[in-house]
Amino acid sequence: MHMADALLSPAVGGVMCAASAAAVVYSAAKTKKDELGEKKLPLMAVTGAFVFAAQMINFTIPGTGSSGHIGGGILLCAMLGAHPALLSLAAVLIIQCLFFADGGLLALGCNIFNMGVIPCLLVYPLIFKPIVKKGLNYRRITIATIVSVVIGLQLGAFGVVLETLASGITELPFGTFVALMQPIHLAIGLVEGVVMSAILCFVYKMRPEILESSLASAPIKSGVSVKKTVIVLAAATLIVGGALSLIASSNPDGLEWAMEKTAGTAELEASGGVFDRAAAIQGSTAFLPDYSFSNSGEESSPVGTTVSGIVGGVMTFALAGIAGFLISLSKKKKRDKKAQ
Amino acid sequence: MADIRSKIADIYSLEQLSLKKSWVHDRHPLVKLASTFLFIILVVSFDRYELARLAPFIFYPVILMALSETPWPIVLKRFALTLPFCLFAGISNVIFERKTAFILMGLNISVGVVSLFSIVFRAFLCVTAVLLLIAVTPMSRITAQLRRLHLPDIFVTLFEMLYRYIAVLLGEASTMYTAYMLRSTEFKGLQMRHMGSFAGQLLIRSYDRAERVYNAMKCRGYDSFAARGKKKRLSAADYLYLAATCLPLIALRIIDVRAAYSIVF
Amino acid sequence: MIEIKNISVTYPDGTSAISDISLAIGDGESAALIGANGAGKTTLLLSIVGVLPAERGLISVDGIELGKKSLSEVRRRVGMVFQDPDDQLFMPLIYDDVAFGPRNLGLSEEAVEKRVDAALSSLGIAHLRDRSSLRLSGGEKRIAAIATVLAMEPTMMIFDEPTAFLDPKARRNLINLLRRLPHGKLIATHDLSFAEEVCPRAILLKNGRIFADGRTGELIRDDRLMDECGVEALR
Repeated sequence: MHMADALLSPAVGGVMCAASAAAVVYSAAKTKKDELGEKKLPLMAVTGAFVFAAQMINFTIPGTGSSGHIGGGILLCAMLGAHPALLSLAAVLIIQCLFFADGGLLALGCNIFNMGVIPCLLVYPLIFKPIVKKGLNYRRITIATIVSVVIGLQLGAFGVVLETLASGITELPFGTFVALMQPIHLAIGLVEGVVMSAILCFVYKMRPEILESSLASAPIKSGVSVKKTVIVLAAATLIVGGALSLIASSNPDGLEWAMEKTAGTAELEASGGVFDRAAAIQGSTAFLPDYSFSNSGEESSPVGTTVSGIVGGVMTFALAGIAGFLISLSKKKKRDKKAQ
Repeated sequence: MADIRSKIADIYSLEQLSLKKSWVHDRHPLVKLASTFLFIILVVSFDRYELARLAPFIFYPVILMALSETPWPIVLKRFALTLPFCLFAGISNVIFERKTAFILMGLNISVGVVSLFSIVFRAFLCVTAVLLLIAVTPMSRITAQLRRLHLPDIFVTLFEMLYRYIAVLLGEASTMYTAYMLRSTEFKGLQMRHMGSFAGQLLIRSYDRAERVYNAMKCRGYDSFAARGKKKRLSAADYLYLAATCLPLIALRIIDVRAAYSIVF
Repeated sequence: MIEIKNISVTYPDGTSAISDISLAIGDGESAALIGANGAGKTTLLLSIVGVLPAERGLISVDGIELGKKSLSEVRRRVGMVFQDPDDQLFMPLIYDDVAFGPRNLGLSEEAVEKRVDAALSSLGIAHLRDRSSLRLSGGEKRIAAIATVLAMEPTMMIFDEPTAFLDPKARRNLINLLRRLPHGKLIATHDLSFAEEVCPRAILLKNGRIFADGRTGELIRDDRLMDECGVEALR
């Protein structure tokens, strides 16, 4: 369920980053205010590391390699409370992105939202907590965990669908995409929910005070805060999203538009010579010609240009390769000299 | 549990790389963060049929990899990890977009195929960019920079500690797993019915460890999220790095290189 | 110097961990704390640094009585080295770990750096400064953990099972190092020959009470005494 940069548009990535950053900053402030927040810090770190490690153990369960985080999120919430859990999960996701290429850097916003904000700030307070409100026992823990994980995973998977489609990188129709994603994640969610509930029941059996204290400390304070969080999140998303989609709707490529605005025509004049000729070839009207292959097939677009594009691309690669090779070579020579 | 051990090895090897010395390693983390983000945003800002204009972006990773002496196998391994979902999205484009883009040596290349290549290529670029960032910048310098960028201190400290304990817990999990496997008759890995107590045990151990860590921190005067780290100013070389990476990238985004191709070739 | 007068600590579940313990460790004195598992060794150490609050009795360090206000001062003066170095080394770099304490003292970054370098070089591990704790050996980790405490410039040091997980060579190295450290020391340990080499004095705990207090060489060879405390005497 980790989204990669390659399937995102800057606008969607940006909006989701803003939303997730808001959620993380908000949760950090919340956690810091909590008198136990400071004490929870090592706990957050170590249990976060646990979620990461547990994901590795999961490998006998078919298909869970893809996730483990939604369940992990619910688990962390049960042990730490919603806000510290989100921080912990966000940190796990960043580490995965940086060290294991699990999910992209720009895609972090999406991933933190889908796998952190949804389970911790939506599913946990709205589903998990009400179920166990009357007091903890094995049955309630099991039901609450499984239901939360399944719903969290469904929402998360749906988030992936929406974000991918909004980015416009894939041509997959909405219906097909949803029909593929949701059932798979229903199955994963059930398995993951069962595993997580087994873990939580074990913890409850061995050390009931861990779950009791986290549950007891939370409700009084966070009853209001959840609403606030959702409002803050919604507002941040709306503002950023609204602004970006405004740009995007009037200009199919928002970034291109922004660059055209800022760089202006000065750049065009300055580039001069070669690029004047280039512009002439491209068609003199557009500074940033909205190039698309779909036109080129039907219209008069000469195959020659395409071939030169391919040759140019290949040559670029070769050139880059040579440059890299030369640098490595000179580095090696320097090292050898030092060694002597 | 080869999987766990390989994850630990991944962290080690990246950390080893980041501690090497090179001109790129010495640069201020801020400029490296900035150029990485810019690179990724520019790469993903092209539309999905773009391939020719993306091609020159290969210079960025190739030159930086060479300058920092980062080995390619690590990159390729990471790239392979991200491939499945990208291929899934790309191949669906091949299926749904059959319009002809161009004809190459008698072959009809469809728009979908072009976008498949585009997606895979940009995945490669983005994965490499992130790897490069982490391979040339030690973790402690990244987190110090994040603090200076006013990320909540509690979050940055959490991040540092998490980074540290992932390796510890992975080691613990792997030891427990070995002990489990040595006593199990079927060699199929952990069974579902043992999952709860196995993972639960690990979780409780983690919980107790957190308690001890907190005590150790308190004993050394930890009582608030104090701001930490030495300030480091940007040097001329840092500005040079920033200019040398960002300006060409921006130029590549604004200027249509296909036009240059058609002139040269 | 550490002075403990009649302290008792009870676990949250109501069972008594240590009761009515009184002892004093002078400046530069080294004492071993010996006892079976669960005898209350770790509890006693943690109560000295105020991690586990004692419900009765007095603890004072260098004449400063442990209380809410003096907590941070007491902790600066008494450095505690934990049993598992992985609990004490929680930052990405050894440097940051050793700097953690001095930074919490509010020192300037230059002063912090001085302290870190002094602590590392006095223990002979200056080369570990920019390494990460991920790949250190057990012995190196142990010494790095000691450095994190030394950087606080304490007058007293307390250790919880410092020889746990060490191979013979690392253990020998640690013994030499501890003998060189001028601080007053209280060392909880199961390793009796280690105790004999480092500490002239030994304190024997049984069920949370002091059972015997005397010269290490004599105590640890007293079969009957050791047997009663659930510890095997050294022969």
